[in-house]
Amino acid sequence: MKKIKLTLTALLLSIASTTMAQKIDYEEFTLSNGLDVILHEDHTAPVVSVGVMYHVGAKDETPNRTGFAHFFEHLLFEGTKNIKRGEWFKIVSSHGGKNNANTSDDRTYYYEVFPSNNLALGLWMESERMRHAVINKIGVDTQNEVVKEEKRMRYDNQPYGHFLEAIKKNVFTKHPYNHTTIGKMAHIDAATLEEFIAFYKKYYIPNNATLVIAGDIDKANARKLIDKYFASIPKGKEIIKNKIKELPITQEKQAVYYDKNIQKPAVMQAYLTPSMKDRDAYALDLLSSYLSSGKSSVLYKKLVDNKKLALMVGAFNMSQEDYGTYIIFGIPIGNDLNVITREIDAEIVKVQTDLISEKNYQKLLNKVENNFVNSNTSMQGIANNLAKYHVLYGDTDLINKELDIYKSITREDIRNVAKKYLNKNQRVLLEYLPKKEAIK
Amino acid sequence: MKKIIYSLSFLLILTAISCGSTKNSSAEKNTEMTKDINIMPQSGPSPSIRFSKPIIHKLANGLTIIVVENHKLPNVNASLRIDNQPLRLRDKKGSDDLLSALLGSGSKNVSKDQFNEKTDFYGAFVSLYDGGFNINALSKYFPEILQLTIDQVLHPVFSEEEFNTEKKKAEESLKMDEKNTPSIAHSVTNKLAYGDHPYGEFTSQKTLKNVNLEDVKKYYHKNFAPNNAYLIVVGDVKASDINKIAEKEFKDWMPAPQNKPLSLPAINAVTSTEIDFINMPNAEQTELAVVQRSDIRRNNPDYQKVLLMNAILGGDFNSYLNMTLREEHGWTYGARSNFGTDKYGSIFKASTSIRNTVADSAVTVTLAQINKIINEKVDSTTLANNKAKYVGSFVLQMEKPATIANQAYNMLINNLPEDYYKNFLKKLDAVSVEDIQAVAQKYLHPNQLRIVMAGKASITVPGLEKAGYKINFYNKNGELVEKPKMHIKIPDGVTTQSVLDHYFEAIGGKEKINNIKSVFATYETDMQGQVLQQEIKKMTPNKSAMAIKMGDMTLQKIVFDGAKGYQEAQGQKVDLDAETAKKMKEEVQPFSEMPLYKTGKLDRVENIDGTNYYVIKGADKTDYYFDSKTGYKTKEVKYMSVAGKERTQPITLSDYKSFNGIKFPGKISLSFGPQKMEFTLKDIKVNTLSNQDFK
Repeated sequence: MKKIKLTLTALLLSIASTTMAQKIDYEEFTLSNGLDVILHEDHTAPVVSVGVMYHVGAKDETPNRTGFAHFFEHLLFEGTKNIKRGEWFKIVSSHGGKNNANTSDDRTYYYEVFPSNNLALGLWMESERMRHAVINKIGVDTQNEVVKEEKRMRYDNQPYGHFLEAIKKNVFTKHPYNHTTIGKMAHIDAATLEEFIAFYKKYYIPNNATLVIAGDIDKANARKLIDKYFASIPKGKEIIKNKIKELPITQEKQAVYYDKNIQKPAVMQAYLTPSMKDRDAYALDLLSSYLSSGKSSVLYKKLVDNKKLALMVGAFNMSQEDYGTYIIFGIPIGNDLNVITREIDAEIVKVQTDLISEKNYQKLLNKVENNFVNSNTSMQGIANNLAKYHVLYGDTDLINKELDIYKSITREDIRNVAKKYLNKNQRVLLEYLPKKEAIK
Repeated sequence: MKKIIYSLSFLLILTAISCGSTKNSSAEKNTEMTKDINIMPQSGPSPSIRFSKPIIHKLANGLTIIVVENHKLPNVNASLRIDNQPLRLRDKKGSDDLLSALLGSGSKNVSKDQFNEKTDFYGAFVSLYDGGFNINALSKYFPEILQLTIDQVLHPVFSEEEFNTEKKKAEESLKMDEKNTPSIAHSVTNKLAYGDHPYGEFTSQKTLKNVNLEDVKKYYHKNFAPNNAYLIVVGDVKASDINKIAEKEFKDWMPAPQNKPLSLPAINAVTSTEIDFINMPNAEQTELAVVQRSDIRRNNPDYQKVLLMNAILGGDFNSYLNMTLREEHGWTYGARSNFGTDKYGSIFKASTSIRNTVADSAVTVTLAQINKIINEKVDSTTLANNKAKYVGSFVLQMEKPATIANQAYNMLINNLPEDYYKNFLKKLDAVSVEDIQAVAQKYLHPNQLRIVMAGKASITVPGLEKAGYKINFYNKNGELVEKPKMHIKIPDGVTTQSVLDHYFEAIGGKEKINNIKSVFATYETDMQGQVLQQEIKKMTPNKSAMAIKMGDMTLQKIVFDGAKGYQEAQGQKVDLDAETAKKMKEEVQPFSEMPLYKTGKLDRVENIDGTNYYVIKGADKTDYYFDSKTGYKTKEVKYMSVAGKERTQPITLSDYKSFNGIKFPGKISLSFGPQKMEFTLKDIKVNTLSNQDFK
C-alpha cells in the first residue's frame, strides 16, 4: 500500500515539475528618444500584432477629472495630421485588419492586428498617433457623448454595474484608485480641449511608451521600419510620478450602495493588498483560486452546493501597479447577507489556520499552467502580455518567469497572506442593495 | 495531416484588395514605396496561407468526429455539439435550462464531487449544457477529461435532490434579472420576432414552476442523441487517438428514432411597421432592436452579397448605422446589424443601446439607413473596403486552428459543398454595387419591421407618439398591456411658485396685472345653429358674474357681489346657498389663480400629446394644468361628486390673445361627457366695471 502511495505522490510531483508550457522568445531595445521596443517573431500564421502601451491611466487623473484618460483614448481615434477624421477604422479594415484600445487605472493600450504584409502600415499608424494626433473640438464634442453612452451601457444600465465603483471608493481614501476609469458624467462634461492637448503633450511621448510587435515578421526589417517611423519623434519631458501612499485599513468599514437595476442584494468584502509586483500578490492569486475557482473550490462547494445558501460566490485578487484589492462577494438565495458573510469568514479563518492540502496545492498550479497557455495563444495576447510585463512590472521576462514564481509559492505562503491581509478589521464590508424607488 | 495551399488567384485577390490599388504589388519586392513618413505605406507582397485539413470520421450511430491537429501549444479545445431541430417546450420552458444545470452533477460511475474535483485538479475548464459540452485543457490531461465528460453526459444520474437545488437556483437567477433592461429587451425581442417558433421561447417564473424532473428526463432522451451530433477536437492531439477514445466511449450511445422534421412555424411577421415598447422605469438607456425575418442561408448563392450588404449597413464600425448613430450623433457607444443564417429559423436584427432622450430620433435614423441601402447604390470604395475586410479576417482567422474545425462543422450542418471555403473569397470579390442594392431590396422589408424598444417610457414614448408611430406596449413577459402610466420627475427648481410666476409672466406680467381691477369678457359659441354668448364679469376683490345670452335674451345668470349672490334661469331666481357663497367669497378676482400661491400644491408632471404640463392641485378640488414651456394655463379639471359618483369637469383653455398687454385664452372648451362646447373670445374690456354690474 505504502509503495503505491509513494508512487502516486511521486507521479503527481513529477507532473508538477515538468514545464510543458512554451517559452516566449523576444528581443528588446530602446531608441534614443526613449521609446522601448519589444519584438516577438512567430511564423505560425501570416499575422502581425502591433501595439503601443502608454504608461498613463486613470490613476494619473486629477480628482475633478475622472474619466479623462479613457476619454482621451477615444480622442486618439479621431485622426492625425495625415489621417483624416473618420478614416482610422476604414484604413484598418480595408487592409484586412482589426483594431481596438483599452484604458485601465495604470496604462492605455492601442493595438492593431493585420495580415503580416501590413506591418509598415501598423507602425505608420501608431507613429502618426504618437507624433501628431489631431485633438480638436469636434472630436471632443462627439466622443463626449459616446463616452457617456459607454458608461450608461457598461455600468449604469447593468445589474451590479456599480459594484467596483462602490468598492474602490471605500477601500481607497488617498490613492487615485478610488475612482473609476470611466469617470463621472460631470467630470467628462467639464473636460476642456486645452486640458486634452496638455495631457497629450505630457503623457503621449516616446519615453513614456512601449512599442510591441508580435507575429510573422523579419526582425531586421521590423527594426528598419521602427527606426523610419519612430526615431524622429522627439523625446518628451521626463514625467515625475507622484506615488501616493494609501492608508491601511485598521477598522472594519461598513458601506452601502443602492442599485436600481437589481432585485437581489449582494454582499462584498474588500481588503487592501500589495502591488501585483509583490510576491504576496502571487500568493493571494493562488488563495483566491483555492477559495472560489471551479466547482470543487471551497466557497462554491460550501455555500452554493452543500449548504445551498448562495446563488453565486467568488473571490478574486484584483492587483494593480500600486496596490491590490482582494474582493470576496456573494449573492444569496433569499435575502440574508449576514449568513453569507459568516460562512465566508469561517472559511477565511480555516485558511489562516490550516495549510491547504497537497492535492489542492497541485490543483492550483495546474490551473496557473492552463491559464498561462491560454493567455499566450494569439499574437495579440502575447503582444499585450509582453507590453504589460515591461511597462507595469519593469521586467519583460516575467512572461516566462511568472509560472516559476507561482510554483515557488508554498502552502505556508498561502496561509501567511491569509493571516496578514484578510482580517475583519482590515476590510470594507459592502452591502449592495436594490434601490426601492416608487417609480411607475 | 494534409496541407492545402491556396491557389494563386486567391492570392492575387488578397494583394489587390489589401493594397487598395489596382497595381499588382506582388511584383514589388520593397515594402516601402517612399521615404516620406507622411505618406501611408504600401502593403507588402501577400503572405502565403497554409491550411491544415480536418480529419473527419463518422461513427455508426451518427456521431461525426472532426479533429484538427495542431502541436504548437500543449493544450486542447474540444466540444460536443448537437444539431437537432429545436423543440417547442411551451409551458415547460426551463426543462432545457435545468438539463444544462444537471448534466455534470453525477453519472452512474462518477459522482458529482469526484467529477468536479478531477476536472478542477487538472486545471481544466469544462462546461456541460443541454446541447453538448466544451472542454479546454492541457493536452497531458485531456484524454482523461474527455472520457470523464462523455461519461457524465451519457450516463447522468438525475437525482431528485439535485433537481430541486438547481430549480431553486434557477428561480433565484430569474429574480436577479427582473430589472435587467438589456436582458429583458433580448428575451422579449426574440419572443416578438419569432412568435410561435421555438427560438421565441424564454424561461419565465411561470414556466419554470411547471417543470419537474420527469420533464427534464424526457427532454434529455428526446434531444441528447448522436444522430446529428458532432465531436470537435482541436489542438495537441492525434486524430487516431481521439477516434479510438470516441469509438469506445460513445459506443453505447443509441441513435434516437428518426422523426420527420416538424415544420417549424414561419417567423412572426408584421403587416406594417410598428413599435413594440417595454417600459423599464429604471432604464438608463433604451435598448432598440429593429427586426424582421431573415431568408438568407449559407448555401444560398446570394450569401456573399448579403454578407457584404449587411457589413455596409451595420456590420462594423464604418457601417451606415454606426457612423450615424455613434460617430455623427454621439447617441450610442455602438450600433450593429446582422442577418441570421440558422437553418431552423433566423431573423435580421439591427440593434443599439441608446440614451432615452434621443431614442425616438434613433428610430428615425435607423430606418433611414435601411432605406438608404435599399434606395441608393453603395459607394464603390465602400464596397471594396468591406471586401478587403473579409479577406483580411480570413487571414487573421488562420491563426486559430479552431477556424478549420468550425469551417468543417459549418459545412456539414449547412450542407455546403466541399469547395465552399475555397470559393468563398472568389464569390465575395465578384459582388457588384448593383448586387448590393438588389439583395437589399430582396431581403429587407422596410414596411414590415418590428421595432422593439425597452426603455424609460416617460422620456421616450412622447417623442415616438409625436412622430406618429403605432405603438404597442408589452410587459417583461412579452404580453400585450395597456399604455403605462408614466411618472415624470419634476425638474429641479420647478415649484408651485415658479409655475405660477411663469404663468403670470406669460400673460402679461405681475405689474400690469396688479393694475387691472376688473375684466369683462365676451365669448361666443355655436349651439346647433344658434349663437350663444357668454359674458363673464370679474372685479376685485371677489365679485363675479356670468351670463349666457342668445341674442338679447338672457338664458342663464349667476351673480355674486362679494357677500351674497343669486342664480337665475328661465325666469326663476334663486339665492346662492351659504356654502356656495362662502366659496365664492374666498375666490380672488379678476385673476382667480392668485390664491394658488398659498392654497395650491405642485403635484405632478403630465405628458399630453408630447407636451409636459405642470399640474397644481388647488384646495377647491381642481387641478390646474400649466404648459411647462409657455407657462400658459391650459386646463382646469374640477373633481366633484355627482350622485355619489366621482366626476370630472375638464375645461381647456387655448389660443391666448393679447388685449391691452394682457393675454386671455381665445378659446375655452368644456366637455359634458361626450358633449363638447367651445367658446371663442370676442371681446375683453378692462377696468370698465363697477359695483352696478354685480347686482
